Parts: sequence; structure tokens; C-alpha cells
Amino acid sequence: MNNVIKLKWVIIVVAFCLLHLLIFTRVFYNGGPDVGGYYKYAVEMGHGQVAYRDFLVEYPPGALVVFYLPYLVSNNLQGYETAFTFEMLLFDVIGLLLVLGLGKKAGISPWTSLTGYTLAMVAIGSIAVQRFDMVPAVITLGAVYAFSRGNYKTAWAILAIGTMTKLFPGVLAPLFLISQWRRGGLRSVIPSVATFIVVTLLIVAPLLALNRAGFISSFTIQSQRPLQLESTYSSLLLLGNSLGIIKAQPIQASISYDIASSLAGPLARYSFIFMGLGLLAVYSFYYRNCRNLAHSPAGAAPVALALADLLNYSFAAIVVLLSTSKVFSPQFMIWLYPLFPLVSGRFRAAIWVIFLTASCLTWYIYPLHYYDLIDTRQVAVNALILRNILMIFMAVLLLGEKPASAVDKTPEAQLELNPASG
Amino acid sequence: MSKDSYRTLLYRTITALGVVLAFLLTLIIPQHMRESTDWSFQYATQNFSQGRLTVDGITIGLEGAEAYKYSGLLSQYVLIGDNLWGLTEAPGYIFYLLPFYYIHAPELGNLVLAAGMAAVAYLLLKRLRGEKTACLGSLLLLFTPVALAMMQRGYADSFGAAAFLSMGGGLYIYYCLCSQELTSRSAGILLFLAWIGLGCSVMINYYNALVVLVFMLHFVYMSARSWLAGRRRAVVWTAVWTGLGLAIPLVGLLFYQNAVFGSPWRFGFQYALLPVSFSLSFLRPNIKYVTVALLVGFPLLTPCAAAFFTALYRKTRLLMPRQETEDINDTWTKLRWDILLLLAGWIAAVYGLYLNYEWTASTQVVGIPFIVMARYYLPAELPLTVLAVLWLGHVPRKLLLAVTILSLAWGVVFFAQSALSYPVVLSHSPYNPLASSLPENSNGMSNMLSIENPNTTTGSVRV
Repeated sequence: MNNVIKLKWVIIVVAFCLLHLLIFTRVFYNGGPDVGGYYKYAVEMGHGQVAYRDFLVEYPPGALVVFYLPYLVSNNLQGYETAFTFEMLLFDVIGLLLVLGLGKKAGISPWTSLTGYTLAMVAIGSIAVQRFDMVPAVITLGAVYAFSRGNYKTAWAILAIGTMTKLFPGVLAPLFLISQWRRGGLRSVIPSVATFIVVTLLIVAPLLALNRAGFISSFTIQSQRPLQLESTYSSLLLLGNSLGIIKAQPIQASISYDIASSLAGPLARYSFIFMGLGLLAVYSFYYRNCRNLAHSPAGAAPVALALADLLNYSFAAIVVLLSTSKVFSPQFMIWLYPLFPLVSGRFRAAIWVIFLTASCLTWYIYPLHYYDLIDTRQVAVNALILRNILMIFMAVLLLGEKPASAVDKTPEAQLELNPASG
Repeated sequence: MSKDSYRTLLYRTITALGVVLAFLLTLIIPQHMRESTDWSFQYATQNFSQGRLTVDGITIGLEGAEAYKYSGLLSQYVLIGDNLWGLTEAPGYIFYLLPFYYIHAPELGNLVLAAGMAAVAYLLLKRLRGEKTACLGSLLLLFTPVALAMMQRGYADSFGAAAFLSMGGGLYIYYCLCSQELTSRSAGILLFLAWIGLGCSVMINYYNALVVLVFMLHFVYMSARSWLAGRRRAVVWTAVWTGLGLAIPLVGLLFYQNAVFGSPWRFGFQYALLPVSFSLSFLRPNIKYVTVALLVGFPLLTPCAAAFFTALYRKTRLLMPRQETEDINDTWTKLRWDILLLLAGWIAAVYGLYLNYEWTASTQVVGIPFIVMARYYLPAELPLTVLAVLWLGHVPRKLLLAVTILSLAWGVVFFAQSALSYPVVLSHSPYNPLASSLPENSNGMSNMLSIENPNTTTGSVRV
């Protein structure tokens, strides 16, 4: 009987993988200007040029591996685009399997995990195969998976790789740190953090040695960007503009469309403070929950509930990062995609509705009505405002969620978290 | 004072304050004439107040020139006969507005309707769930961006059409829920008022007839059930009250149509020159253009969809034998099937119709303000709010609080955006001395030339 059930689930998972294959290859439009850019980097690397030294790159080094892999399959643009689509599909399927595994541990039904994952992918749309953000998003999920199994060093190593692919997975590091510290004390954290640092240095050091300035500029180019058109701050300025309170006008800048306004400069500068405060709030709430779990009278329950909290706060950290960042490109929604079906708690239904609506609105804004937004047409501007308000609302709901320890959970949500196995 | 009485008083006070706040908001923010509807109805009110249901070419020329002076158009006035111009829209709202126009306070027309709509919503929701939900629902009903924006536009008929429909429909559902507890006279009066409201809504907007048809289907179904159950006398009386309530506005409409178009069966839309037809081929472009406008204009749209599917799921589960006793005190399981389907039918009649509307589907609407597209869906606001608020009654308290605050703020901000994002129209009076002082058969040439456009130096305007 057990084997029959297993076979049934194998068939279901394969069916979902085939559905993803169908959507990735037949429904989504691949290619686009960004993939063309990735191809250019790959061609230069293929001709023996060294990134950061021989040509400028605006991405961390891990991304270059992602760009180069499809080039090994095809060296013409059309073939590269197809190969890139399959590369994203590969990571998408890995993400699906990780979601299933994590969902099982967190007491989320496989149907919910699979359905949520697929719905999110459809809502995000073609941008999933037009950008490489799927890769760091799935790497982040891999780090959480390893962490949930108690393989802390592996988790930190994967997190370092993720951070070196796109910086955002780094926001999960304090959550890992707090969780591990509360579980096994400060000493248990040291080997894990050391692993993170060593892996990061292994990736960074050769590139620093080759061309320090070029490598550092790949990070500073992002941090020095002005207020991007789709950021929360920009949508506030556009709302003010539509109310006649302030003047704000989209402008074409070197990397993206940004917003020109008397308040744009100060908001861009202070966005780091807002981001810091927002993330600090997430970490503080998580710390409080971990402390409550540690003081919980139940035996196995705190360990079993730890994963639910970790998943919720990982999702919350990325939502806060997106909502407070001065750049909010449409592909950033992919960062949330693998973690989304794993969110649990009283507000799960609301989070699902909000995330799916926000994803559809993102797709509506880009690529469907981006020029309407640039022309500050009211409906397109309102779509952006609505999307960003929903993101903030989602962050508020996630932080307002009761700690997992306070919610009655079924005993099947057991974890294999080992205290400080290192 | 007992705790219950105190709470009742508190919720009613909050609702009353909310209604006053909504009134103040619509009065404080300056009103601009936006679409041709506003202009056409302003001049129609002026003409009707002088007993002129139709006007001649000279008069409409003068009025059109005057509207043009302020960048307005009279697109809803069309040629219906030999030198005879009439309104393409249903006339009910103008007749309703006349008393307020006579006392020089046309903006009060919508405020009175808003108060009535909030009161009916309160009554209905109190019956369905309780005072707290009633308070929440009434406030969210008024603080929807589209409701506030159309409430402010004193001459446009959208709010009037939605308010009469909401009052009539709300009272009808209230009657269905508590007819057993009322005396036959009270029930009859309630039913009469409900059908008067529904009939008046058709007199204001012809398309509301589709929603009224849904109500009539419900009424026929319930009457047939009662008839078969042997309550034949009661059925006859309800039919009499219904017939009376519906006949008064509809007979009025037929008289108007006879007077204006020469036959009671001819109506204004038959003369319309604008792209106002309906076809399934417009569904796709409408979904593309209108969806975001609807999400912005009706923040409760998503909770309403969630509510409908939750209700359907819960009630379907209850049909299964093993689920008989489960959730017996749940709102959804207590909500009668016929009421749920009536609410859904009401929404479907409005959304199903306007999602196939030619005008909003045409490319000319890309980039125009959301209110221009979303206002057509206002007649479905009451059932949408009722379902959404019943759903919100089940969510955790923190979520309820967050959604309420967000919805209220949303309403105010986007109402302000809608009101302030139009070009400012020069101050003008709806009591226009030029057009109103015209003799019936004046050639009007000298008057026509005397209308000056402040934006031009030459001084004359062609229409």
C-alpha cells in the first residue's frame, strides 16, 4: 500500500514537472534584452576574456556561471535563449522538489505545495525565463532546506553561493544566525559563519586579485542607482504627482527608468535606513519568536515549529527588502516564488491572494503597460501603487502573525533539526 | 446602560460620523465637470426645470456653445426629430434632482441617496450578521473610491442609479429574510418600497433592468414555492405590492418616452451615436483595460471573490450527508441559497453586462482615469460589499482591522486622485441666464454670437 501511495505521488510530481515544462516552453516568451545581455557576457567569456578585468559586469560572480552554462550548449543567440530557458526550468524543477520536501517537514500538504508553486509561477509570468533570478531564489530555498535538516555548514555554504549570485539571499543570514544561536549557543554559530566567510572568500578572492576596482564596481553600481520607477518610494511620488502635491516624472537612466523629483534624491539616500529598520524589525520579531519557542513547555513541539517560523520570516525578510529597496525590478518577484507556497499561519489565505494579485499586477505593469507607466497614465500608475501597497500590507501581515508556538499545530510537523550539529 | 445597548449606540454613532465624513469629503474637494454626462445632465436639469423635455436646435446650440466654453460636450443630447433634440439617457435622475435644483443645492441630491443607501446596508447587514458588521459594511460601502467620486459628481447619474438599486435590492433582500416576523401590512409596505427603488433605478439607467430581471426571477421562484406550499393568499398580496411598486416608476418612464419620442416603446438609446453596444467580442479587451481600474475603484473586489467561493464551498459541503451538523452556526451555512444566488446574480448582471461594453473596450480608453471605466460597475457595489464584509467577519481580528484601515484610506486617496486629476473647470453657474431666457422660437443668432470663450480672443464660438 505504501508503495502504491509513493507511486501515486511520483506520478503526480512528474505530471507537475511536465506542466511546468509545457508552460516554460509553450506559454512563456523567452529571450528579450536581458538574455541578450547575458549572451554577450557569455560570448566574451567564451573568447577567453575575464570578467571584471577585461569587461565590466554589473552582476556578482555566481551570476556569470549561470550566464555561461547555456553558452556551452549553443553559441548562437537563438539556441542560447532556448538553452537558458531550459536552465531556468531545471532550477524551477529543483525548486519544486525542495518545496515538496520542505512542505512535508513543515506540515503543509503536498497538494498545497505543488498548487501554490505552480500558481505563483503562472502569476509571475514570462519574466521567469527572461531573467536569471530563478537561480538565486532556488539556491536560497536549498539553503533553507539544508538548514532544516540540521546540515548547518552546508546551509551556510549554499547561502554564500546564493549571495554571490545575487545579493538578496544574504538577508537570510541573520535569521540562520538567530535560529542557530538560540538552539545551540554562540559557540555553535562560529563554524557555520566561518563556512560562509570561507566560501565567500573562495569566490571573491581570485576576482579581487584580478581586478579589484572592476569587481567592487559591480556592487557599487547597484548601490549608487537612483530611485527606480517601480520602487515603493517612486510609487508614493507618482501618487503625490497625481494628487497635485508634488512633481514627479519618469526618466530614462543608464540601467533603468527612474523617477525625477525634488524628493527622489533624499528618498534614495534614506532608503538604506528604511531598509535597515525594516529588516531589523523582521529579525527582532524572529528573535522574540525563537526565545518564546525556547521557553515553551512542550518537548518536541518547539523543534517542530521552528521550520514554520523560519520559512515565514525568510519570506517576510525578502518582502521587506523589496518594499524598502530603492530598486524594485519586475523580476524581483521571483525571489519570493519558491518560498511562497511554504508560508503558513492564520493569514496564509490572505498572503496567497495578495501575492498572486501583486504578481499579476507586476506582469500587468511590465511588460504589458510599461510605456503607459512612463507616460504616467493614471491606471498604470495606480496598478503600481496598488502592487506596492499590497507588498507593504503583506509585510505587515507577516510580521503581525502570531508566533508558531502560539498556534496549535499538529504533531506530524516534526523536524529533523539537530541542536547545533555544526 | 447595558453593554449591548452601549455597543449598539457606539456602532451607530461611528456609522453616522462616517457618513458625515464622507459628505464633508465630497463637499470639501472642489467638484469639476468631467465627462459629457455631467454637462448633458446639467443642461437637461436646467431644461426640465423649465418644462422642456426636448429642446430645439437653437437652444441646444447655445447650450453646447456654453458647455464648450468650459471644455464640456453635450454628447448625450441627440437629434430625435425635426429640429428636436432629446436626451439619450433615462430621465429618472433628472426628475429626482429637480427639487434640489430648485433650492439651488443639486449636490444634496446624491448626499440624501448616500444616507439612504448606508441606512439600508446597515439594516441588511445587521440582519445578516450583527451591528458591528453593519457598521463596517456601511462605512466600506461609502468609502469606496468609485462611490465617493460619483457621489461628488452631483449631475452624473451613476451614483443615483446605484443608490436606488441598492436601496430597492437591499430592502427586497431584507424583506426575504424577515417577512415571517413582520405583519402583513409592514411586509407589504416594505416590498412596495423595495420595488419602487428597483423601478426607479431602471428609470435612471435603462441597463439596471437586467438586475431587476434577476430580482423578478427570484420573486417568481419564491412565489411559486409559496403557491405550491398552499400560501396562495399571501402570494396574491405580495404580487399586488410588487406590481404597484414597479408600475409607478415604469409608467412614468413610459409617459416620458411617449412625450419625447412619440411612442412609449421608443427610448433614448435607440438614438445614441456613441459606441454603446454590447458584444462578447468586447470581453477580452475589457478584461485587459478594465481589470486594474476595477481593483483600484473597488478595493473589496478581491475579498468579495474570496467570500463567494468560500460560501459556495461551505454550502456545497453541507449538502453532503456526513457534513450535516458541521459548522451549523457559521454565517455561510446560515445564509440561504436563494439569497446567495441572488447576490451573485446581481453582481453577475452588472459585471457580465459591462465586461461586454463597447465603449470601455475601445482603444480610446487606454490611459484615461480609472473612474471613467470603473463607474459603470457601481450598481453592483452593495452585493459586493455585503459578501466581502461577511467574509471579513471570519478572518482574524488583526486582518480585519488592517483591511478596514487600508480600504478606508484607499477610498479617500483614490477619490482625491480622481477628483483632483482633472483639469480645473472655470467657475460657472448651472442657472444659466443665456439659455434659460431664450424664447421658444427664437432664432438665437445674436445670442449665440454673444457667448464668449474666455480662452479665445475672437470672442465667438462655433458648435
